[in-house]
Amino acid sequence: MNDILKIAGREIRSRLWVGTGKYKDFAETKKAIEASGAHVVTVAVRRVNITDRSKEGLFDYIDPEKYIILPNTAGCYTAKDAIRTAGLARAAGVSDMVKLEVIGDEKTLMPDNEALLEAAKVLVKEGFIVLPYTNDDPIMAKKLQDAGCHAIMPLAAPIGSGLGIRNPYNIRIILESVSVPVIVDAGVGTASDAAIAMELGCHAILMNTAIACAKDPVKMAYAMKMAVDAGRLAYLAGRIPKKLYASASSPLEGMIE
Amino acid sequence: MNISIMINGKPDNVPEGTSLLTLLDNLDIDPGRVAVEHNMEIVNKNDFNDTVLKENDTLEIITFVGGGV
Repeated sequence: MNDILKIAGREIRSRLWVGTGKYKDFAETKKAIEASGAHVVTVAVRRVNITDRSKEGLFDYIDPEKYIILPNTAGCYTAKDAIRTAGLARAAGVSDMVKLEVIGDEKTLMPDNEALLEAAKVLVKEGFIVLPYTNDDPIMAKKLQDAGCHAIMPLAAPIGSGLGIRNPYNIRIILESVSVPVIVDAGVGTASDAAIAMELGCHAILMNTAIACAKDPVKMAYAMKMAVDAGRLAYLAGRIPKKLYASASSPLEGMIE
Repeated sequence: MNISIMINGKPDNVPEGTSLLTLLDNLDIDPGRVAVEHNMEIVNKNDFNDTVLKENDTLEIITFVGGGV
């Protein structure tokens, strides 16, 4: 089946994207990512530990040649910090894509959309492939697209909350409002949530906590892969309309009398 | 003679004339996997060898760690 996701002209080989945070260790991270079948993995940008060089790094387990590395600007609370972090991430030389986050508040980790839009405009001008984490707000999604962002990443529920797709109607409106890919980012709790997002027509899903903090992350990663694939197929197949009354599946002719 | 610099927010001393590439080598850091900000300016990887550290310089050396959404 020819159903390839493209972002900024680049072919993405999976519709499930995964984060690399919150795992027990790098070995578990690697196993879960392999089970998920993800082609895109997100990473955070942090200071090198100067005093202790004995520790292994993420890239000793996750081969940046094998995956599309998507650095995030998690933890940035201003446009300036996010732009600076994105610049450093690109200078490290593994990716010119950025999952742009400008966080507004520690408790909700909801985006500061005003600062997000400001940072997005600057980074697009500097030639980044910009994928902004935003609210499930169709107007904001449109503004981000108009600013030149290459995909829109609306949250389904707060980061790490596992509450699922809180407002499927807004996600649908976003899908109708923009022509760039829409990737649900944050909020998924279990496999059925992922399937729902894909059935709505979302182009991909990024998740971290739902896999990394499951009792068995490797199993959950595989469950998510199947849910994303099933949801996508169901979307393409086209579901039946919902009806109030029954409609018999067996023929009414030829009944015995 | 040594000069004082700041690396990732901590004071440090290096011999005068040390290049960024030499510093990374001494710290056992693979230059291929990091990015460096020198006095708030990002340094192109090709310029690591030509960047010579001076008294009171500030460096940020970053890499990628596990992180998600």
